[in-house]
Amino acid sequence: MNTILSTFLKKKLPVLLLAAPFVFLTACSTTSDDSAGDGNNASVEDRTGGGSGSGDGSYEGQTGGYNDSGMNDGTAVNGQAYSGDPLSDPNSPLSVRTIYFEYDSITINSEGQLALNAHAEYLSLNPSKSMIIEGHTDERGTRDYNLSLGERRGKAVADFLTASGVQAQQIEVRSFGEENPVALDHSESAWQLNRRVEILY
Amino acid sequence: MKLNARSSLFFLLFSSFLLFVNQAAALLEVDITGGFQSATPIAVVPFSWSQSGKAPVDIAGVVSSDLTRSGVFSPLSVNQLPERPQIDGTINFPRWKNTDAENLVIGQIIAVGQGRYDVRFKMVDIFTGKNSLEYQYNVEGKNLRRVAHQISDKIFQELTHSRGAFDTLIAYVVVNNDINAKKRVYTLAVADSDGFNEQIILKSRKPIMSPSWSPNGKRLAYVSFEKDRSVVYMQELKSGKRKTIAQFKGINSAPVWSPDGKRLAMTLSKDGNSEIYVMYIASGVLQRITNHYGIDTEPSWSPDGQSLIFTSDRAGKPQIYQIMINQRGRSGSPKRLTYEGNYNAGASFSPDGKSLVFISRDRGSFRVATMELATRNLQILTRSKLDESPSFSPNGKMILYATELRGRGILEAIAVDGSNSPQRLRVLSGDVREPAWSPYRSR
Repeated sequence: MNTILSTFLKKKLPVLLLAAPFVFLTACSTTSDDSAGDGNNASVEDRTGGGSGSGDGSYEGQTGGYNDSGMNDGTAVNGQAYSGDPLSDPNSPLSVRTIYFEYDSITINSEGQLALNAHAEYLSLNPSKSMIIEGHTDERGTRDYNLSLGERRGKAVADFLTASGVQAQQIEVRSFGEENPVALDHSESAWQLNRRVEILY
Repeated sequence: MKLNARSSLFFLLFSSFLLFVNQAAALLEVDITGGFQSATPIAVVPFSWSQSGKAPVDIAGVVSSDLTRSGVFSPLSVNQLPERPQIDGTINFPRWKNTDAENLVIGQIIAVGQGRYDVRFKMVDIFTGKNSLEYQYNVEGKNLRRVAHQISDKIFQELTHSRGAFDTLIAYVVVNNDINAKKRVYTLAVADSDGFNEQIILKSRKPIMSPSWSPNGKRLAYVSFEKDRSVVYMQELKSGKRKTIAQFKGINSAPVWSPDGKRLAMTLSKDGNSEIYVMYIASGVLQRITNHYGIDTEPSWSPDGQSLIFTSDRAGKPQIYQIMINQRGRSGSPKRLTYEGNYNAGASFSPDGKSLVFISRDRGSFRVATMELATRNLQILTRSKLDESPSFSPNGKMILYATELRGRGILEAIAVDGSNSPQRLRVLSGDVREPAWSPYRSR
């Protein structure tokens, strides 16, 4: 913890000054819930068909749902009126959970870097917290290549975070390639929204 | 090596998850577009039926639509038929010579009780008057459509001297593309080559990708995200028994069976980034085939099992490479096969091993392309924008792929020489994608 802090004091003092008050309070909160649901949530059916009964409805929810039990309230400082979990402060850069990318690119733009700096600090100072980084692509090109490209985007974000002091074991990269679009059109504007990395606590 | 021992050590039985399939037929709809200028006219007379009312299956209708879909034949319409001869009756040849058809197919269906049927057909050369084919079958009612496809195969073989691929199956993924990701339902299904007799293999709220047939046609390998990340599974179609093949850290994707059925090539990123591996299915032994910081994925076996082709962006943009494979893994270094254009990916071999089919970026669009290995001549076959997942039919005559039409995901099939307009297979609602044509079925 101290070495992480000293790195940060050298590198990112100005941001830290803002973040420090709630960071110290939340650093001693309980462990996160990072378990991915391991239950079987798909049904397999007999090729012969004709059976009866229902295998439907056995799906489980999304992972990455973040659990705020055990969190302490932050303290308002410097006119920041928000008191509560910094992760749910809509005005915090931590509220940015999606990083967008150019076509076939893994370059994190300045907006993305700003948000990731905040996430890096949060994770560095809350070593019990963990994050899932989901890489996504637009639909152009082949599905399996896009699955790899999505992972590469996720790793670019993970590398950025670890270079900022986050421990590798706090991060898990997953790729969905082009399989989970948020916009369903087949247009440039939809593709822009789909080329993304999502951050899930 | 962190394979989940619990699920890899034994097959899981999912029979308790049986879903009643209430509308088994025609979730996939075949839609034949455009004309076939070079198609050969043929006469297929409606089969006579031993009882009153309609026959349980219009075998002549199934045969006609098979032959039409091939792009090679154009069956006469029913009102172009000058007469409807019985299989053992006389044929008025002069009247048939006035049609465009050179061959005449006649048949009958007889209900023989206990749900079984005798089917007989023959094909007659209109100019010589000789029978070129004559076969009979005794089957259960549920197999009548399959008999029709087998008849189509016999006719195709007789007249083109190439094996027909009508009595085959296709696997595909259907998704109701709800804007709310949590409401999406993904279905992996298998149907006859004409879209009928759909059987559901897997239903999930999470994406399903990359179905791949075992060489004996009895199993599928595929990728499912039901655990919120990509995992490779192998499932026996008849029993529904399923086994987890790969759930390492990172990507587990793109499984393809070796021609001998003993190995699966796949993409894993467990060692850092996407690399090609070969797994011996019985032992789980893994061989790493590629080693590069670029993306290596989409492996596909050559028909002789001696090499793999794959997509790699090691030179900057995705291109197709080939690497030799032996029992111990790779031998030699990858050799680049494509140089034309800046995006060539998702390749697979033709059954004779002489050509590849893949997706190539052509003036901003992603289109189906073929390349003869001897000449390296790249030919773009389609005019669509978002083609994916192309593969050859088992007889090498057609290419099946996924594309997008007016906002919907559909499947199309096109002749390898690009001679016909694509025929379309669509679902009544939702998108269909990831088609995989089965190998020939064992009889």
